[in-house]
Amino acid sequence: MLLATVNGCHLDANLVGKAMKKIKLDGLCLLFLENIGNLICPAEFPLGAKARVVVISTTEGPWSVRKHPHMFLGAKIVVINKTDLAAAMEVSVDALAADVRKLKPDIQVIPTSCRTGAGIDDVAAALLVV
Amino acid sequence: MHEFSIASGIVETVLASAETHGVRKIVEVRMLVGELTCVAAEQLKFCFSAITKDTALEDAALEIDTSDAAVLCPHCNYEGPPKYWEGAQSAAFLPTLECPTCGRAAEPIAGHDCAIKSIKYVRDTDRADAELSTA
Repeated sequence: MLLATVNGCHLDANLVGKAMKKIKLDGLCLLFLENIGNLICPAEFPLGAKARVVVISTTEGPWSVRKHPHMFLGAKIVVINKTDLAAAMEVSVDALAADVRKLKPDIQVIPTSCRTGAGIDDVAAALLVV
Repeated sequence: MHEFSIASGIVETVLASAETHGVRKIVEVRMLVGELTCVAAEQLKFCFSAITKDTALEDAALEIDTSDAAVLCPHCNYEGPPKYWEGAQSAAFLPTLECPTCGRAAEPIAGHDCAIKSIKYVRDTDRADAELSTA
């Protein structure tokens, strides 16, 4: 389902609650709520999800984690995508992962590349045990 | 700009409370906002003033107090201020959830407040200030 917040910069639990009434939930074991927009506004609005998964990519540059600390403080899993472009971007995946763990040491960090498929199985496995 | 939706929530709540209590003029709303939230006080005040025109909240002051962050470590039972990340290229030190004593993951126990604490209003009968405490 495509989301429309009508210029709003994030989802909130109220919107999710309304949407849940319109979705047929029987038979679903996993429901993804993909939030809108940036890494600042949505940080302060828990949606009732069991786990927050934050996806960043190497093309966002080396400071993505420390520029948006609140979003990561509330995360259980952080996916660092586009690792195939890390060298071209001169971005260290290990340094990004270290930044995440500096904010909270028990966040699971999973490097992935959707282009090559690397790490995708790890994300699936992590989601099944949250 | 999530401050707009927070300001809308505050205004709706306060106006509903004013209506319940028969209050027509509110002079001050006092809030508590935690260090671990991403709520910018100046933006919140701007949004508040913009949406209160022609309501019982017009010209009311929005005062914002800040609550400090605190963490509890489930591993070593440390309880107190968080460890701050210095030198993160940030103008302010960033609070983290790394335990200051054992270095493992701690949980936040304070600093997430975003709450209306009190409302000052003018009573219709004697025009004296009164206070409604919601704490």
